[in-house]
Amino acid sequence: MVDFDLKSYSALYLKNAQEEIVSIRDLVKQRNVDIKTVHRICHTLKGQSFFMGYNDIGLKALELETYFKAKLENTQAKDIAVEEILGEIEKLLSTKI
Amino acid sequence: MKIIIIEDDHFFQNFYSLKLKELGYQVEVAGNGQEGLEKIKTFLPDLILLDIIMPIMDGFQVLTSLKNDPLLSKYPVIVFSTLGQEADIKKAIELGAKDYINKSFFDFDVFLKHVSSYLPQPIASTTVSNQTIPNKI
Repeated sequence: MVDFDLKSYSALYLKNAQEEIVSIRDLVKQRNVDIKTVHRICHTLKGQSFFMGYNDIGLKALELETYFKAKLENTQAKDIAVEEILGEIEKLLSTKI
Repeated sequence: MKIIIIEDDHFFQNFYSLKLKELGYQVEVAGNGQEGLEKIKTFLPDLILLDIIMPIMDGFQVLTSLKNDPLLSKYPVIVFSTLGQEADIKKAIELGAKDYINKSFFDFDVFLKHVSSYLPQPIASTTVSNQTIPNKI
């Protein structure tokens, strides 16, 4: 496996992740939630987190993505505490800085 | 050889285009499916790396458009996936994608193996991050 410098992507990842959390939070507060966009942002956060090796954050983002995907597809979605999960992600992010 | 990356996430756009350029590929990037379809017609890639979840036009819509266009259906497509997209991968393969790569678990050798197997000739010997990629994988 080729070794490459992931550290050079850390700053970009952290900036993106913080922006994505703000976007998710803003979108879910709206009266008519744009589920498709929220789902896409959760998907992005998940992908970038796993890529960086931050599997703990990736799994939290996967939980959000799965929830919003179910909403998007009108399948049964077990209610989850979105804000609580976002808070947990923020805490985990602070340990990566 | 030419590869187009159709991916809305700038993080992955940058990373994969940089790595492929380092290997000597000519790379074009599109931020959504609609832009990707337009660029395919002019860029005439040897390979398409396609994300599924994108704004404006998603990867499934791109695959459907490619499949229904005799001029575009010849291009091999590798889908970019991540954990939890098993159903999406299955659907993409049914729509004509040749293969998939998990973009979140980057293993350069695995990535190159996938990419080179859909290109007309083996990639040139290239040094990346102090390691040599062999002519044949």
